[in-house]
Amino acid sequence: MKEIIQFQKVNKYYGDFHALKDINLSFNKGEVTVVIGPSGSGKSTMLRCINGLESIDDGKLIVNGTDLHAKATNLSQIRKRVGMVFQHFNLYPHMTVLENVTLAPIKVLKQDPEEARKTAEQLLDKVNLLDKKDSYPTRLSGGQKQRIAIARGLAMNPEVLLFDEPTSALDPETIDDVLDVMKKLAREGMTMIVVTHEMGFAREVGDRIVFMADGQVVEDREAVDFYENPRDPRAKQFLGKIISHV
Amino acid sequence: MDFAGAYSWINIRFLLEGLWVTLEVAFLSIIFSFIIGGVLGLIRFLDIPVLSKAAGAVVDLVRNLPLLLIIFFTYFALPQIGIRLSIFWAAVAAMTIFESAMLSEIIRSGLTSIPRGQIEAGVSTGLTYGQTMWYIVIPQALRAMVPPIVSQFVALIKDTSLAVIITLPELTRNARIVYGQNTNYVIPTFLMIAFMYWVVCYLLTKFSKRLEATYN
Repeated sequence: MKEIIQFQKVNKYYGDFHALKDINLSFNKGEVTVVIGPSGSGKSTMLRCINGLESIDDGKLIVNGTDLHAKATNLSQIRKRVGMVFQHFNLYPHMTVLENVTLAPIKVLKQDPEEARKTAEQLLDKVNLLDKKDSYPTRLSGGQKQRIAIARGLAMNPEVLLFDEPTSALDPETIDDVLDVMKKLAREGMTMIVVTHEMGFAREVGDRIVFMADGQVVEDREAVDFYENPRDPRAKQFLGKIISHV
Repeated sequence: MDFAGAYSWINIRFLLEGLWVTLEVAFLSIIFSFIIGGVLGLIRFLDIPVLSKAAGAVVDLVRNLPLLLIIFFTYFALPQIGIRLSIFWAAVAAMTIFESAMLSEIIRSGLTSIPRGQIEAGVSTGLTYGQTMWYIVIPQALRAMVPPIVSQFVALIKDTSLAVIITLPELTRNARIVYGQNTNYVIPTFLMIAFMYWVVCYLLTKFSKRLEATYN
């Protein structure tokens, strides 16, 4: 399988706090990787490094063949191939749903507005929200907003889609709609890296599990293997807690 | 008190001419200050090493000076260094200096009020930082800025009366000329200009409230 993202001994600090410690990781095309771990373990930080929302202090991070750390790197070029879905959706409240989805394709990919609108409508249909295309985000529920955000990410036709705790800010009754869309994408072969606490999702579509704790990658294994036989005591404890909660 | 005499057409027309000058000075100043204050506010928001600190220092200096002093400065001090402005433009310059500092604060806090996630969402789709500011941050910030900018404009219209000191022929100055003719005109004239200031400022405030309502 083709590696599209590689972390090589990546370190990151926030002042004195060592947020990422010697991270070595790679992500493959077409694979769904679920990143789990206790809060403060560096999962989101690691994810946000991939599209340059966080900078790294040391090591090498290669995305789609480009070294992110290199001075000459144009982050916009990387970002248009790497979509991101945020915990708090971050839809643009002053634009309609359709405008939210078509903004980047029109301004970045220079798509014809009419063509961009057609693509956007197909994507909105895919997340079952075509009827909301002319609404403003404030009128939508959290689950609907997050599905729009996914459509916005997909509109750029990215190589990989990053999810930063996409269901953590949602009401329980709207979580499933979002997870269903994500499962559909996974089955279609979308490359996804998902930071989440949704173990049901991880179990159902995760090809690989990365378990992080204290800024380190503690386990990085095939999903099935991980559940049945977590090696690290922290992973065991974490799984134990999550499962006893379900 | 002589209301009929004070409110003769000639006097009222003269007051209205004064009101027009007041509005002209206020309007030109708010336009110029919006541009200069916008640039200053953006520089401060962007946190550019030396530049942002310098802009902040200038804004703090101007904000803590009395407007009257700035009017004296543009009319009496500038000619000493070879910059000679007419009364009208000296007033506009003074108001612009003062209001730019005020508006830069409004604009900076308007930009700051937009959540960071909006910028992250924009750049994460490949938009450049400039495009993100232009299409996502600034349009939202402008909406948040409209009410404070309008109240600043209202304050500016009232402050224009300070230019009476350099004999700018604005509303307050013209009122003095009207009641200078006859002491029986003092109270009627004051009532009339109070009414004129009130109507203009009240209408503006109403307009701002309506704008706010449409946005929400």
